[in-house]
Amino acid sequence: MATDTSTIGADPRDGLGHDVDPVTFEVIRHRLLAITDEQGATLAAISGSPHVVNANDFNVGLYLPDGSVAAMGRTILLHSASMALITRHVIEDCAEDPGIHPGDMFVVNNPWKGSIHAQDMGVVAPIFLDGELVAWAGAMCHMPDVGGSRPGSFCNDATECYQEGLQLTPTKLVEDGRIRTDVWNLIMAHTRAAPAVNLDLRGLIGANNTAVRAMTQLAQRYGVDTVKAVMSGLIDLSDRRLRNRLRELPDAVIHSTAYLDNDGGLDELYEVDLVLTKTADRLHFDYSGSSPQVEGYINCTSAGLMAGINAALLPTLAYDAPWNEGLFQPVEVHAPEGLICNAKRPAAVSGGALEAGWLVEMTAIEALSKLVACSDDLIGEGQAAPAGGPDQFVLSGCNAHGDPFTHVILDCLATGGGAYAHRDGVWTQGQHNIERQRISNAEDMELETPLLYLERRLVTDSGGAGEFRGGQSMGSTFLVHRGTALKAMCNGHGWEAPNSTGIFGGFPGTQNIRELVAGSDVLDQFAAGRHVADLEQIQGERPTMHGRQGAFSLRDGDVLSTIHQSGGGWGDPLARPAVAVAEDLKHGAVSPQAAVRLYGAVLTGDGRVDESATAARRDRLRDDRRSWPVTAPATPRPEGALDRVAPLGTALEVLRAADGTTYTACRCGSVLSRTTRPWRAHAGQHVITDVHEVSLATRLNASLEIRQYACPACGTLLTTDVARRGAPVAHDVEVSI
Amino acid sequence: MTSSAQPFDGYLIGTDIGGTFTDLVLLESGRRPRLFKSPTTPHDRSEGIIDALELAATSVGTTLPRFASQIRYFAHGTTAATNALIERKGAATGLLTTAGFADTMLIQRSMTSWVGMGSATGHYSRRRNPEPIVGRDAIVEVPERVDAAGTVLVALDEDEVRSALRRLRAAGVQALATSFLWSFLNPRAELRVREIVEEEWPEVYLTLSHEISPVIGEYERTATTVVNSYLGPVIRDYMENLEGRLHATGFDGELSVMDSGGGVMRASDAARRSASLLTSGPAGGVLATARVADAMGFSNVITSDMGGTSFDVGLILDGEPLVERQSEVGNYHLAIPRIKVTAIGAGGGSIAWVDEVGALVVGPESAGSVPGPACYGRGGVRPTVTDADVVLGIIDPDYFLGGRMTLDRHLAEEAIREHIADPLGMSVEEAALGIRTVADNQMADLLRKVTVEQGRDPRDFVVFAYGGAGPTHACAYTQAAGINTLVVPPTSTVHSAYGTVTADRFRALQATDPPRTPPGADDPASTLDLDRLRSTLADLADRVHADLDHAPEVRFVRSVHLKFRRQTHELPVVLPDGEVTVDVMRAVIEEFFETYERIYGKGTALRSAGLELNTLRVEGRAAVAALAPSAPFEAGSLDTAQIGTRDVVFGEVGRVEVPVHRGELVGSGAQLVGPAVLEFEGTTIVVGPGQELTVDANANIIINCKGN
Repeated sequence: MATDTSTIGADPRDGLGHDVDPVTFEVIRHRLLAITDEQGATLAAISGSPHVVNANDFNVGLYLPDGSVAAMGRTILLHSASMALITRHVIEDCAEDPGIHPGDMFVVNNPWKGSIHAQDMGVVAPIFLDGELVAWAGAMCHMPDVGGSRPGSFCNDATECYQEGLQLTPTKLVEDGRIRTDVWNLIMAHTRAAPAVNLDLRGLIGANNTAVRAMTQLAQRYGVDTVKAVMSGLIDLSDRRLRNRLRELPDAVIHSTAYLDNDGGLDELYEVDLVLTKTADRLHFDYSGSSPQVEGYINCTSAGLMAGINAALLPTLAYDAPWNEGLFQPVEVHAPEGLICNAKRPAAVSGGALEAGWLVEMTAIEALSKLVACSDDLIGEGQAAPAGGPDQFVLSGCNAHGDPFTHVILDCLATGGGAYAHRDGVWTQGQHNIERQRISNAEDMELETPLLYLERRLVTDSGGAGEFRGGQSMGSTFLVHRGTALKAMCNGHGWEAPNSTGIFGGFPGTQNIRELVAGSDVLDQFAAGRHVADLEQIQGERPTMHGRQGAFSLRDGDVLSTIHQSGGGWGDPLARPAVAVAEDLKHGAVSPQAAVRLYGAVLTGDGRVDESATAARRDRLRDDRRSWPVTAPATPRPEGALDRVAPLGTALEVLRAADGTTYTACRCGSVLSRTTRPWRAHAGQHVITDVHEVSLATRLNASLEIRQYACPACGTLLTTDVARRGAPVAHDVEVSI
Repeated sequence: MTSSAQPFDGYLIGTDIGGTFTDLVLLESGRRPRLFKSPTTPHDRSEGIIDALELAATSVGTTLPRFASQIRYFAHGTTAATNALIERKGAATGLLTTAGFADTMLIQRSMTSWVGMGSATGHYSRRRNPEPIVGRDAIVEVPERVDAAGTVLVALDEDEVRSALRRLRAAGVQALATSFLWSFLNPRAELRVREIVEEEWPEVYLTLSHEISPVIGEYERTATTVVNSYLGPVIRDYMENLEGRLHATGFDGELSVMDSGGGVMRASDAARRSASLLTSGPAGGVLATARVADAMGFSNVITSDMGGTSFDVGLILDGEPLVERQSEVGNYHLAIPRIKVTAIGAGGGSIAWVDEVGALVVGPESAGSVPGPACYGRGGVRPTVTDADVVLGIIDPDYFLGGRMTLDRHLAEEAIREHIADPLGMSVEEAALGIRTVADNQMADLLRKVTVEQGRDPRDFVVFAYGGAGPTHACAYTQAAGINTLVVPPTSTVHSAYGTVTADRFRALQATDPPRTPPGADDPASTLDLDRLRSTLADLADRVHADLDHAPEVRFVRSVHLKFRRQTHELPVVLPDGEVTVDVMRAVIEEFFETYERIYGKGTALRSAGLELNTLRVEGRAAVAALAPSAPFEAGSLDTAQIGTRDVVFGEVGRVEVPVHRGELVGSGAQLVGPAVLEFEGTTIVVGPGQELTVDANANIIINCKGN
């Protein structure tokens, strides 16, 4: 923080650009952030829903009169752009009629009016002083249900948005300080979870009331112009910090593709495709190579696209800047309407935030990570992919008390983090787009739902292998216990396609895995005094599960087991120190089989890592890689000395010859290719079609393969890619130095 | 000072060990409190206690052995538990838990990646899993299972328990924790573990989750259980050492230790309830404030303690310190109710800097005590809040800590000039004033936030200020928060120590057996099983009474914590004394609705959602050491206390010459209108221009800050 000031060239006296003195500026800035805290506290207090309180699936903030975000609560990153969009749509649609007046609030949950999906309902309130619009306050949260064909409103059978429940365009909900009962009743009439939605909506209004009160006092004390000037100053500050950071990085063009496996009945594979161009202090995200929009509910609108980009950008490049509009100013996005990640009406989009939108975030994380990995100073901010998307689980029916319920089970959030250049991924880090996440205690789940946990554990081998290992996800195994008329809904991608990909040679983390043992013998085993959780030891019928399972019945005695995608690894697993593998074995992070198969370890009879035998075996394994076939002839080493000008991750680097030509080379010194050419063509290639060779999974989609490339000189594994069969050799990073 | 006509009935001592100083308060019937400070001795903190006792003995003109033999009550607050947890210096601990749940302490409800990161949670590359306090290899899953109805599905596998105990013992484990699912509903399996431990390994320290934290939520309950065992042997050794030292000096009185739940416990209970010692220092300050405020007739108080690195704020609502049911310490989340204290990184050592848009920012980085503020002359070159106070003339560089330390005004000026004044094109004085304004407003924001979170208006509160820097800044942060009345108690520099010796003996127990009322019930109270409620409350009261040695004067407070179903936020409602009837419960539920709407706004109470009566709680309090009241504080004017004048810079009026008073010489009834400065040995009280100061009969300094 403070140390950054020394690197800033600008004279700070030019900075404020307004007639606000530096002390008043700071006093008001601190107050604005305190007000967003108070908003968040009010919403969380009133709402009490697991989405809001545990998953932090809400957002609050203060916006300039034009809707620009000046200050936002530190909650779920996906909503950072959405509130500005909602406010701008309110201004556009309501300014003339029905008008925007003091004491009003507007509600929006339409995916084409700023919401990421219809469950995300936002309420914004104009703040006036003496008739002048000072600012907007806003609050939004994920509602447990807004109608549509499925409980929870993830309408996996929808083919058009008309089947996906209530989608309010900007609508006046509070008029002159009074809730409009007609609108309120309309919303309640469309949800299966009226009591909870009622509280959430009251929470949103309460949060805005808190902000309106506090902002009015602030404007009275310091003047409207001063408050607005400080809000603009906050935006300038973030804009500057991001641009300064971008200037530290070389210009580059980076390509990233993520695969979205099937959309329901169709066994199709779709792509979210990003070309990121970084020039000077700007970022250009081009998603035009993505698949066209599809019939199923996995599309996202432009709100989801922006959400995914921001969720990747903020913690990677803007970790020390206030999160507001300023961070969006250096960013351009190109994505024509009609794409899977920028769908137009009437596409079904209720799953989009968790499907195409999620993969927007994954591609942006990968591209930005590869960008920062071109700088020795910033490589520490890059990461392997975190969890690539949840396998949702919504359960409804009657619980042990005979009460009807719909419950979104949030265990799918407790996923492992991606590995970094300097450390393993964090276990149960939580989803990358949720900054401060919590899941419910098992006891609270068992009180509310007819589920009894056989176990909740860190899943062995779930983190992607690598020199630095991906973090482990939590796995849950449930026994259905004392419920009636139960319907489960499970849907997720990452079933046939690894989305938690490794980076710079690291392996992908586990895919989503779900198994059902219907009519199990668990209670019989319990009665005999045996506790069981391992599915191998449980008898019963095992129906085949699909990624997009849709709705299915559950009965007492059934056992459902879920494992969720987990962070990818960083770097060649054979480079992981033997002592680290020994620690992994001790803590159950890695199984003995995986230690041998993925990490090249040699174990002694009592299961310990034999360090010298491991070193020898790893040498042999690297020797094997040196004989992998190379598709293009070797690039001759240029004459004269080569200067290292930038890293390309931890195994490759950019070297420059005396004539200015730049080359991609392995750290061992072996030159692979010119930087303008795909280096992969000059590396040894190994193709894998059995995903179990690299990670946990049910299966790999038949149109995908895993391609590994190793240095033909030293045998270091340089990348582990997921690619369509038959696709040309990838060229993922092109740096201009 | 007044001499006493009271017969001498022994001394009462309160002590609190802080990072830098060990504070001691000496109380005696008929006399005013006497305050002592001695440097803390980190290698063996009991040495600092003995040093402070020596100072006290000298001041009453006697020898330490004779003095010690006349102490009838010794109360103690310590950071020993907090330090051991944060520094991971507890006992090697093993955990027995329900099969399938070995990783509960590691997963931490998925908060594991961001716990303890404060405002830096957005910097993902810095995320780490906390260092575990119980290793994965010392966590043993035991076959047993109870469901949410309390029904046993799998019986406890006793052979597994026995073999686990043998394995953990062989692995060098020194303390055991046992936490099974739903043990607070059905504790039989945990109790059976204790029986087996008594047979197999009787000397090992053992905590059972349903006893230490009988609440729903296995992660927090397990964490509390493990932390209690992890700290138990450390606190046992600590207390044995302290008691040994005290007895060696001739002390033979009663020894109590601060419990951050709201009072003191017997020293002999400390090892058993070690987790309750966590953060008891700040709790002591809040309790001391509650006592003083009560005597002054204030029932709603914001407590504020500003030290070198942090600003700690607590609340007293309707006479009772605000208690939080869950809190975070040492990167774990504990479910034992504790007096709530909210801290931000704002203290005398907070560093001021200019960011790239040219705003003047203070903190959160702190210079701490090493190197400390620039004016300390210990190598710190960046300007701090204390440097600004020196430049503005608020702190006399020659009378810091009563003259025990000399500050260098020139170094303070240079630091502010280089880092703030020159970059912003201001004078050094303007820059110093800016630093103070920013810091004071940050603290005012926190005062607002803690009250707004409780649905209260800060203007309905009185501020108490203590800690070394609190009284120096309080006149400004109180005013900025829109509050009029500020009180600086005479014990402000040793307030936590004063809290230990004046606090009641305290014991609280709770039970979770959530009765629920159905959604849409017109008369939810009528659906409750009152017999069950009554018998649970009676059982809790009996156990509280037993833990307080069946003292006849115990005051009981029974409360029920309610929430709307599917909600997470609970509010306590106090039950009236007497039998719990359906009418009583109707009134309780009505009070819950009203309180809820007062806190969260009209229309937020959703009566139709149904209710959960989540927790039943009984608190018992008994006075520990009676003390005859002290004689009134000697009357006096300010004239006799004035020791000179000096120039001080205020935002409102600029540089003015203000009178400086020796605080210890100011008598009761004195009045003045600011600006003025009162210098005490451990702090400096500032009175802003136009603010009015009076001194009451108990030496409390009351300032009308003109905030409203």
